[in-house]
Amino acid sequence: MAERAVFALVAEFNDAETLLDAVRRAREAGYTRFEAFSPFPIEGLKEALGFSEPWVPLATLLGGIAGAAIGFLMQVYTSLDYPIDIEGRPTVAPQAFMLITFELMVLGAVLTGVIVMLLRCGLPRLSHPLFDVPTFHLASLNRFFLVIETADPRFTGGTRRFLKGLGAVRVDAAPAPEGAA
Amino acid sequence: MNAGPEFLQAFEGLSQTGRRDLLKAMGAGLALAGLAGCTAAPHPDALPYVTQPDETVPGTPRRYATAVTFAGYAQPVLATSYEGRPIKLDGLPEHPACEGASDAFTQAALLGLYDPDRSKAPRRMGRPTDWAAFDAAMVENAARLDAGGGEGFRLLTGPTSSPTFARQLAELTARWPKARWHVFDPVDEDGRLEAARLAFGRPLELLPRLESCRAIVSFDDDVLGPGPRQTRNARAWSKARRAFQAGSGECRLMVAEPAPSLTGAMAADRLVASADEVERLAVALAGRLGLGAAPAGALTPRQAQWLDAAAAALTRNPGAALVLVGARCDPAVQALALALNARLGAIGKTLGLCEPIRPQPPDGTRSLEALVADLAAGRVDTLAILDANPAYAAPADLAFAAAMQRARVRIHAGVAFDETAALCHWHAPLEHDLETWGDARAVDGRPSLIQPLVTPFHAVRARTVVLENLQGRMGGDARAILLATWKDKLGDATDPRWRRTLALGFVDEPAAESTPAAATPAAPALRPRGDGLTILVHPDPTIWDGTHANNAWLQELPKPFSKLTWDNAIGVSAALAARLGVGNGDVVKLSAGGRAIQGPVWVTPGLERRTVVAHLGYGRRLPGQLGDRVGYDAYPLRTTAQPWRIEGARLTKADARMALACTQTETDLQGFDFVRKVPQSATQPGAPPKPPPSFYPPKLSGSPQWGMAIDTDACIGCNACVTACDAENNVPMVGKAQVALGRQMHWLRIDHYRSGLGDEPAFFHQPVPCMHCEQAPCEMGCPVNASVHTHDGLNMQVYNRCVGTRTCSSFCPYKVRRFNWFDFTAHDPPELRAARNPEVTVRSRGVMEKCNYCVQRIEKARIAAKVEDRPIRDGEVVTACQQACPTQAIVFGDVSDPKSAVSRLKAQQRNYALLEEVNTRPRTTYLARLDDGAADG
Amino acid sequence: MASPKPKTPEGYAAVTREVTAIPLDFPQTRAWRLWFAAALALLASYIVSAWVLFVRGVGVWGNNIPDNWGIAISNYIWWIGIGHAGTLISAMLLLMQQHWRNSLNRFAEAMTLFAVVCGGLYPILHLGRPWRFYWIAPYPSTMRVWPQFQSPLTWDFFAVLTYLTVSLVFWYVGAIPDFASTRDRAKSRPAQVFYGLLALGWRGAGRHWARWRQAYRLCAAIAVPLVISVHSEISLLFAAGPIPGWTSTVFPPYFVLGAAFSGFAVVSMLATSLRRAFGLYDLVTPRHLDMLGRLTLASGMMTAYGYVADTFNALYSGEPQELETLHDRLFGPYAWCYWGAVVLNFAPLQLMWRGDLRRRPVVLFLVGLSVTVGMWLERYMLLFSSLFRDYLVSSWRNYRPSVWEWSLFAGSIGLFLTLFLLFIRLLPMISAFEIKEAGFEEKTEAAHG
Repeated sequence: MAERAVFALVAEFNDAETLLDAVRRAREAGYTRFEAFSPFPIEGLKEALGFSEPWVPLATLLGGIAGAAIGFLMQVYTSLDYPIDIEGRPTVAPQAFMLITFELMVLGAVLTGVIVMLLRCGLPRLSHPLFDVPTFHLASLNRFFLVIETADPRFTGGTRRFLKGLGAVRVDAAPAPEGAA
Repeated sequence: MNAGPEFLQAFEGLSQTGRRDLLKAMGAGLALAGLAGCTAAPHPDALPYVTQPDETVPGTPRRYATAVTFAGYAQPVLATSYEGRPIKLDGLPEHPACEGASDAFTQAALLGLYDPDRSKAPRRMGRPTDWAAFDAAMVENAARLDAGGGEGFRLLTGPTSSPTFARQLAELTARWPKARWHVFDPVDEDGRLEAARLAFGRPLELLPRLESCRAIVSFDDDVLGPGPRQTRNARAWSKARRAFQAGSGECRLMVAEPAPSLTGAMAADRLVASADEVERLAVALAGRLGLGAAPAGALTPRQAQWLDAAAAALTRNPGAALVLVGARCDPAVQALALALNARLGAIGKTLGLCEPIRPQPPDGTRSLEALVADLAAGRVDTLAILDANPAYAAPADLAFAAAMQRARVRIHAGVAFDETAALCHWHAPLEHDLETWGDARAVDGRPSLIQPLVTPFHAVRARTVVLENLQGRMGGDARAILLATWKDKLGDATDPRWRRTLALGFVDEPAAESTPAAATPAAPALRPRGDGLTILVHPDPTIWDGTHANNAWLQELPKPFSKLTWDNAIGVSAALAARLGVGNGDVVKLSAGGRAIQGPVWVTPGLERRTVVAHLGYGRRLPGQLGDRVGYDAYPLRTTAQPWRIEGARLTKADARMALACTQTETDLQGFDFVRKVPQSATQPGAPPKPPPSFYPPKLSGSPQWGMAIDTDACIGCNACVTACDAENNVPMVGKAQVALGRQMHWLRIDHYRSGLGDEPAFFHQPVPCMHCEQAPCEMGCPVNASVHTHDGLNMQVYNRCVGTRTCSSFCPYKVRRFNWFDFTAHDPPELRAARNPEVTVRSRGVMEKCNYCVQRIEKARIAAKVEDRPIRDGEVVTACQQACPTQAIVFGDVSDPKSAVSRLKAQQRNYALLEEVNTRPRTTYLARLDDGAADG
Repeated sequence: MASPKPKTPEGYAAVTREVTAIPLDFPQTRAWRLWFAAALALLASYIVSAWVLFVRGVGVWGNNIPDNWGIAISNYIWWIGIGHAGTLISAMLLLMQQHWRNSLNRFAEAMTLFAVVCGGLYPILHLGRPWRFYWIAPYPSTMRVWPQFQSPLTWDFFAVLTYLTVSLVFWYVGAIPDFASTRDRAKSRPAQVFYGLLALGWRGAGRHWARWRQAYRLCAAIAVPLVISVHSEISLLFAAGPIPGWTSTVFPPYFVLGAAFSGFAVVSMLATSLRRAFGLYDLVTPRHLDMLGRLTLASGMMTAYGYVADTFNALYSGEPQELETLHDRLFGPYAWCYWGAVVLNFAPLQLMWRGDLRRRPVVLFLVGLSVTVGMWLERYMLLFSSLFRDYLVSSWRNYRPSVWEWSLFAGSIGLFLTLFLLFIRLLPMISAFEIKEAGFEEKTEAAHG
């Protein structure tokens, strides 16, 4: 499989602390196309990766607003579209409309938030080059990985040594998927 | 030869099935598809009531003035018919005896026409045959009788007032001098005639004129209760009551009775006393007023106080007082009361007297006994029974069923194949009053002409025709026979007098009254009762003597006091029930004079402690019919000597329970103010009520705004409105099992309350339709907009939008909504479909329904008004319940118009809303009952 | 005492293996089959009862006027109420950083889902024309009529639907990482495909974790008020009407607390049962049982306050009708369910004041059982004590559930068991990755001081 192109180098670490440290050093070294993998969310990894994006909270907020608006306006519109005297109450009764407005706000917020989360993560994606790395399945058990893609502009032959230097117990090459350049 | 029992056994098996299913099954199995559609044809010779739209315009009702008979009297009706299908009967407005009102029996008579169990073809030995065979047999038989001048021919009829019958009878006796006519009426009033004979020397019929009474003292006379005269009396009494409400004089009703009655419920002072005590009190009252001597024995303080009040009331109102004694009391006491009335100057003023409207048979009050005697002596060759059912209802000691077997030829003619028919060689099915030609007198003596609205559905014949057949004349035209009776007065069929009278429905000739001098009768021999219980036998308030046993509307009509349906019970006082350790539904054995019956107990408040009430009309043996084996048969208790009151009876507990279907499980008012009593002054207009507080601006504006006022001071709880509502709105009958579960469908119910837990509770009746709340909780509850409000203030139920969440009913404080738990209507036989009002939707399974103020009538009026480009007139919209009410206790109209009748009533101080505290703003309000006990002299 | 937290790679591996081993290599096959057979039998009773109901009509039940609603509606409230505990445990405790919740939240949420399904079906079944239930949803129909948005039933429709969706999403999102680890442990191809699909290709990338956390915590934050709103709305089904004993402002909190109470009770029963069945002694530790006991006790005492407040309202109002209803509840024909509820809900509950009893699984289970039954009685009591005798004396009438109502109720329990048994058989029932995370965080905290 030597002739197969390499997609990325996969460094395996024993514990989260080493991984965090490795991630920081990789960033200092100027790498951009790298990613850390862990069996559970690690406090501080986000900062180490320099991750800061507003999409999920923003989407949740907007979804909530949209849901509430749709909910309330639907009730107002239907009440006016076919006005019927109900217990002598006003045709448009905001107090009575609030509950459904709230429910639809919740629905809109949650659904948009989760959907945007999945979209931003590029999920669902059932096949990925990393799955070909024989040890990678440990990423969901008890091992921690740092992956630097060969497509990274700073990627050189020295990258493998660099990774080893970060305290990786082993470094594997993840072959690029068939047909990939 | 004894053919009877076999027929009964042959049908045993059928009676096991549920009655409702049976009704369906019967209907489905019937080969009268003709009924299913509009093929029912209006009778060609029938004459509509007033100028009518052309019949060819479909969906336009025609109205005919005619009459249905009840206990031999004519009940004048205005019948509504669509495409030749009669769908509603109402009182004939022009007729003085009803003035447009009606009672439950008259309303329900319609269903009799469509009864799937009706007899549809002649029978020989109980097996269907054809008229040809019948005619042949009659001809042969008549020939035989001719030889002996009618020797051995006996005609037994029910009570009848028909002039045509009288004429035919005269002809018959002219031809067969030796033939004899007998009459049998299970609910006879022989006592009255006997009393009149004692007082005036000859049997006379009483015509009480309650409208001119200001004081009525009734000794166990249920003058407002069910019976042929209820409509007339109730109407008359309500006029007197209105006068009292208006402040002119009083309208004092004093009642002494052993068992609760509708009259007693309306009394200013109701005294509970045993039957013999009641008679003693009557004698005592006469004594007080200087007629005869006071009876032996002292009165209790309560009795004395009541008697003082009664005497005072009578003397206070000279010429406007009336003393009534029940027809089932000792004739001597009744006679004394007649003499007392004469002394009070009542005769001719508050009490009319006339020759019996229903002619008496040769043997008078002993007619049936004479017949049985002749049967036993083998003097009867041919027994023809017309419209009577002695095999079921004859007094036990006569053993009529056995005796009649002695007759050589037995012929029965009736609308149903009943117990008597099963014992006859020949059965001739008769036409229903709505498909026949005939005549009868109303309770005021005015003759009504009965004309057919529809050509007969089955191979049936008119009574008058069968009467001809009995004399060997084949065929026969009922119209011709009727014309023959009236040709002197009205001319022939083309004569304008005939046409006018037929259209009007009756001949305006009231009974000729006489004012004979009353002989002072001998003092009645009072028989104080010994030990043991007193059984009072009453006709059933909804089934009467059993005639209506097959009528679902009447079977499911709650009895006024017990609210029982589909059953009769043995009424016992709470004290007696406690002593026996029995409760409602416990089966007891009621025995007297070696005869016994078994039935379920119903604890009856306001019943004299040692009195037991049994109701007639149930326990019919009509194999395969709706009314088969419903309830218990009380007839076996009766004897010719003691038909109504049986002393020395015993009540023993039988170890059995019976499920009873009661529509109101609790009648104790428990101190709530659902019904109220106020002083007479409360009829004055009160200050206009200030609108109750609300978050929202009032929505309902503009005119008309519909509303209803119900006067509980006038309502006697007679059930006419309920039956009228059933008929008008296609209310489904659900059967005993469903009623027992609390699933009756009546849109209008009459709540019955009693207040005061003693032996003499006060009784109230309160009709409860939908309240049509302006702020209706049901509307807020409905998720699909099926319960909505209209611009003119109706709370409407949209059946085809309803999904059946039942939230509306859960939120309804009045619980007036009714739910289709099953598909109650889908399996109705074709006849019942034909009886439906085409202007009212038939509801299907799973939807809620309720009173809608007869919106179909409102719409009719609205359209008419639009066409003529005018506002709807006050009184133009009349709801079915309002139309039927004999006391005009229900008034409907536009509440936005202060001059409308309903607004003027609602303006009275005594107007109140049921459950006002819930702030639903009902459009239906009540007028409190007036307390006239205060005016004691 | 604190539960042993995995702080080493070996510990991490142990946790995941223990959790994923259950679906992948099921330990209790025989027992499970027996239970599943029983559950299916009950489910059959559900299907038969529903079939009879649809064919013949609501009349096969014991309902009447005035008892328009039968145990169908009280069961609906009871089931939905039970559901609330799952969301509360996972969402509220997550926001409050209560790590011990991690051993409970997965199956508690599953319990929520299935309870809401069981409850949500009832309002449809009880309709007079069930085939028209969708008329409550707003859609342009030929009649041009829309739903009536002032009706508590319409509110319920939206509330329950939202609640079901949100609970499902929340539960699924929270389970994705464990689906992934199950996928990675799976040996057989079908299992790999099955869990692979469920996992959506989750790889545990740092950035994914970051977004996942944002979404998951936001869901939790929104779910808490949602739970409260849902049962408040269900309480309005009664409280919005004018019927004595119902029209009370105390009902919403009263119902929500009762819901949490019954829910915690059921979670306690499930936790103790699963712990024993699968030997999860180091995952569901005495500390967890202790916490559950505390929760049940707290919510129980608050519910008790609801009883007191309700009674006080009736007395304070002085309305004859309200007093009548109160009297009926305490001494009327339905007094047995009032006192039954009081005793079963609150008498055994008092054991929970003692820590040693809280930590004893048997005791906790029995208290949970007693409360579950007690709360059922409470729903029943609240429904009928008001309906069977409302304003007019003339319309008083008692109600007795018919055999078809009972068989449907038994069936709905069967439906719940079926779903829950399938869940424990097929899916990781405990949140392994969150336990590992919690362990890691405790370690780092310890390290930093």
